[in-house]
Amino acid sequence: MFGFLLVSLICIVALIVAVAPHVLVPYGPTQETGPIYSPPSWAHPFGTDGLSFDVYSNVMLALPLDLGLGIGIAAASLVVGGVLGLLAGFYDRPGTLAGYASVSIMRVTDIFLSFPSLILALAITRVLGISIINVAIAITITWWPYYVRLIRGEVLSVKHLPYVTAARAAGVTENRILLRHVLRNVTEPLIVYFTLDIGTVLVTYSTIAYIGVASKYPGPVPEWGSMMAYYQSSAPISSYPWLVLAPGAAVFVTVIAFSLLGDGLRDILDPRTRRAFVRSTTPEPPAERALLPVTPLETSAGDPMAEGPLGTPDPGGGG
Amino acid sequence: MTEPVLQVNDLTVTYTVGAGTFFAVSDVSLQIEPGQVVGIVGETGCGKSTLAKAIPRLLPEPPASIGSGAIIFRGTDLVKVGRRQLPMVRGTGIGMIFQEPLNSLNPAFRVFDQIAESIRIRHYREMGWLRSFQGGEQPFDYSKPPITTTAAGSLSKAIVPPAAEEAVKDRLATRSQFREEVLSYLRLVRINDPETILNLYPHELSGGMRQRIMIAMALSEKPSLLIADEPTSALDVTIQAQVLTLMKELIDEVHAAILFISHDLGVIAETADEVGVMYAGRIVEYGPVAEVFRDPRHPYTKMLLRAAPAHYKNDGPLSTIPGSVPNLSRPPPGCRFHPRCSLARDVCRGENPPLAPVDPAASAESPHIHRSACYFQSEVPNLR
Amino acid sequence: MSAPPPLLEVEGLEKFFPITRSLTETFQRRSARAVHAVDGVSLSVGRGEALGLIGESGSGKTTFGWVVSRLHDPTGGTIRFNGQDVTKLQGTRLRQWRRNIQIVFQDPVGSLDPRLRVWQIVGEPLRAQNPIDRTLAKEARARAPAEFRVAQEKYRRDLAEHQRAKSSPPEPGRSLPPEPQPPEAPKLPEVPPRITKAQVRARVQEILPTVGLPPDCLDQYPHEFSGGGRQRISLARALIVNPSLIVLDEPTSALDVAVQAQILNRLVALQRERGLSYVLITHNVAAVRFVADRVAVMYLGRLVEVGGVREVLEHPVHPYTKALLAAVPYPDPSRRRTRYRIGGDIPSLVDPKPGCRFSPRCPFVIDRCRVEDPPLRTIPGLGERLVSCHRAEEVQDIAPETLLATGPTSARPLPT
Ligand SMILES: Nc1ncnc2c1ncn2[C@@H]1O[C@H](COP(=O)(O)OP(=O)(O)OP(=O)(O)O)[C@@H](O)[C@H]1O
Ligand SMILES: Nc1ncnc2c1ncn2[C@@H]1O[C@H](COP(=O)(O)OP(=O)(O)OP(=O)(O)O)[C@@H](O)[C@H]1O
Ligand code: SF4
Ligand code: SF4
Ligand SMILES: [Mg+2]
Ligand SMILES: [Mg+2]
Repeated sequence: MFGFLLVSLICIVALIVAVAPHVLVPYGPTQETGPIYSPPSWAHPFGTDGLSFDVYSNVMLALPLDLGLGIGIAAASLVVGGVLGLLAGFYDRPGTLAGYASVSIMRVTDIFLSFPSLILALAITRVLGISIINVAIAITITWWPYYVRLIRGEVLSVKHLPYVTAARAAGVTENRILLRHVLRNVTEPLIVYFTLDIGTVLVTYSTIAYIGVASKYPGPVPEWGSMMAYYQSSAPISSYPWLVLAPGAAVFVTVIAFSLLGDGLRDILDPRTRRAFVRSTTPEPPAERALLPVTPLETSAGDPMAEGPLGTPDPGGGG
Repeated sequence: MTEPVLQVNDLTVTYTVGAGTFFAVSDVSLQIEPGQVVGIVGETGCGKSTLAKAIPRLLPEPPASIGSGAIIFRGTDLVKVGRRQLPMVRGTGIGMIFQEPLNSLNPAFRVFDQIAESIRIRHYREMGWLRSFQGGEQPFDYSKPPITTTAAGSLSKAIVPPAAEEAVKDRLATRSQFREEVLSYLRLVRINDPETILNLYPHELSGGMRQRIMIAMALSEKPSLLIADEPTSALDVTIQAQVLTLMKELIDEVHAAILFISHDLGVIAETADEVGVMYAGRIVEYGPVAEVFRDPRHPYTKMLLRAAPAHYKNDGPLSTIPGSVPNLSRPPPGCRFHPRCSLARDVCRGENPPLAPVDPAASAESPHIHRSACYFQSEVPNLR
Repeated sequence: MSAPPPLLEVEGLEKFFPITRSLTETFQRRSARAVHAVDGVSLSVGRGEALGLIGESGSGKTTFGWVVSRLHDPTGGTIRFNGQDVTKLQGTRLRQWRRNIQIVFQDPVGSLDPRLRVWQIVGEPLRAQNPIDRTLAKEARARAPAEFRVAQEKYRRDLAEHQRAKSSPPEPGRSLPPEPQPPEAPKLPEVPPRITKAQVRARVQEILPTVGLPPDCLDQYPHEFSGGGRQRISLARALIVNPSLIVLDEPTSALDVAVQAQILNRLVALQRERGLSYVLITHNVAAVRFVADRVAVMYLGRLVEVGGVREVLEHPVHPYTKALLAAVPYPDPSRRRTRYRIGGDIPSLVDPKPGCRFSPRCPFVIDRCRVEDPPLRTIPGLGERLVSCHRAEEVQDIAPETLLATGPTSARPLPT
């Protein structure tokens, strides 16, 4: 439940910063405060940078944006991928129009999945033009296929269960079966995956920003990734470590919070539906997209004993 | 080799659901020697599957938890294996046939991939890639692509999905090689049209075929302990006979042992060397199958044997056991069978009867003698 | 048409599953080869009759059950229910018809949606059928005025004709056509009211005791029940729309013998009380013996033997039936290893070759068996029994146990 508290706290802070920044944020994003490169102190909890901007204020001001991006991108992918996955999984009778649509959705998904999402997102950003919103669009474009595959797998495992057939035999319409029996039984794994995914999205976004294609820093709209990039190149990290550490820690804490929440949810959720996570034998290849080793991603990997954290070495090489 | 393959000592497993605690398995002890088949029979919901899944630590924990006891598999206590190392327990010689084949096969994968996976595990094991978990070495979990934990590795992984890379390598090198092996296992379990079946998804198979896929997967791992939970309930009797023969051949080949769970007393009578009768989470009678079936010493066993249907509907209703299965969150005190037992007396309500040898002269040490957990076991033969 | 038609009559029923290999085939639907799961089955089930369906695993029993319940579309053949051809029913009418046949599955866990409460599960058919009734009634109401107008139009024409005929001089040899009657005003069917939650609960509460469940478990979840309890819930769900036929697909094979006996007793009692018909699909010969009136034996998509339950089980004629019965295990360790094992090649369901399907494994095979399909025919002296074997007359008196002596694969000549 620690995860839940942490996430609530982060969200509340983000809300306050967004609505009434002066409550928590003493300075504006590009407000000169006087001393340059001052180390962390009470006045400047994370110190100041070479232009005497307050790092703490910038980190805080970036929170609503980064959090919103994480949640927004994940949610957009969830909606797009979820709907497509549901349809592709449920209406897949070969030979029908829906069947062709289903096969097509899955092929397109496979094509997307065969590209590394980060590189694809970078390429799309280049095409669309560099801006925060375009990066968000680019990530969403590379992100939804994972949801398609997750949901479709879940739908497939539910739709052939006898209770679905029994509902059909009772005269329930297909659409209603989809909503009443199938959708309800796939939401829980979806929620868990979504929660864990927010952190991953955030890391990916920060990485793109770090590479320097998202937003400009310093500027009116600070962002953690670009902060890290800027400070790393503008000041020797060994002399002024707080500059890079502050936004880095912000990313870290947010990601950890969502990971904890996701793990907690998984443990809380109805034990009978845990089957979704503990399916034995060959799992779908897990949707691996970790950038930092801090995000546990084993949600969809149907490991028979999904409790244990990762850390499984190469069977051949780990001598 | 006299060391048993599996030794279960006083195992207790509970489920915590909401506010209630279900005592699904209570104080169960078992010992299985190499080459032996131990059968478990018992009422629906008495904890057989829970016991079966508890042994390779496949129970979802929570809601399940192993309260006490030891599960010693070839010298290692599996209860003490830490959470992190749990994944290693599978693929190290315990094969499992699950009760619900449709839920245990992955719906999104074709038959080929499912069986190839278990063959792959065996290959890994034979090539020594699976490290023994006894030494506390790094675990290997076959069900996931290997993951490198260095930062650089993680970064490169974001760029080239490891699953894709691994999958390509695996497929190219071994697909055709596996195909023959997979086919041979499908033929072993006597599936019609193995070549066609390879490309089907689990839901496209008949109930019996799914079950045979599970069996083929379990056998292809060549486990030294095979836990078979209702392995033949969806098979017709002719194929059932062949599959049972197949399992026995496994025993001969790798000197394995089988824990065989079934409702079908006929199958147990034919397959098992020893049988344990479970009631409400406890083993109430245990012994060599011939003795238990010929001379049951627990009222429950006796009634179970009598309930096997053998007549036409015009001959009157089938005999059943009066009363209903106890709620495992509030098991009756004392002997758990007493509310339904015609021999029950006051003493039965007090203390739980021990699993005592039927033959008082027998050495109480041996785990393989006929025992019954009933205070009045000598009266059972005269029961109606 | 003197005798009423049987409840369910199936003729030449076929269900082929095309084998799709590659993506292009999926797209083109060009797949020549197919799994012949059900291959020309003709069968009838009478009112109040329980038919046992046994046979090899993978022989198409479940597929047969699904096709007659219209959960799969048949590839060929006809299904008549109560004399009405239902093979081509679609859409709302199909969904309405579904109340006549319900289905109960083997898996007590997967049969019930874990998220729904007992009353929701059992009441689901009611709640599904109610809107169908409403839709159909509304459609009929909407159609009625137009139909009435058509009928009126016809009446006017007929009347004019009639009057013309009356006024013209009567032709010899032709009598005057009868005076047409004006059409009745349309009777508008009642649209049944939307069913309420309270009504559903009340109906569920009524039905629960008939399957042996306490009526106060309406709000429990399926996981709070034992395997037997869940099977009773499935049964209640099947019964609530008053079907005339229930397809039971291995309803008891996940249950222990004691609970199994309870459920089987219940099934037989229900059949007597409500005049239900069953198709009982199972591998459990004892269950068939207890529940069924007639039994049909399937092998590789075909029926090989059909007859009264006592006759078939005690005097099997077809070699496969004999082999099946000889392989039944007994709960008696002293009879160990006396089960019969069929040898021979594993047969294929993909585009099977002509000839008897059992011929690769039959101990009595002759050359004729390999080229000519044995028809399902009556055997002189065996009454209603249908057997599909060229040598039925010769082999009928061989007891199943003697197969054990002949050994599995030996195709030795018959003892004469
Ligand atoms: N995941 C779970 N959560 C809570 N309770 C459970 C769970 N799984 C099983 N149980 C309970 O534990 C008890 C034992 O179940 P188990 O599946 O081991 O029975 P079984 O003997 O295998 O029955 P069957 O013969 O029907 O397979 C049952 O009362 C069941 O309700
Ligand atoms: N949806 C499907 N797609 C393709 N093939 C199928 C499908 N459903 C069934 N089959 C095939 O049809 C054949 C008959 O299956 P069916 O389930 O009817 O057998 P069954 O007699 O019920 O067997 P069991 O006793 O094992 O349940 C099998 O070969 C199976 O692979
Ligand atoms: S101990 Fe008592 S209640 Fe239990 S089985 Fe024996 S006689 Fe019956
Ligand atoms: S027709 Fe021939 S092969 Fe077929 S069952 Fe009869 S004797 Fe055997
Ligand atoms: Mg079980
Ligand atoms: Mg079947």
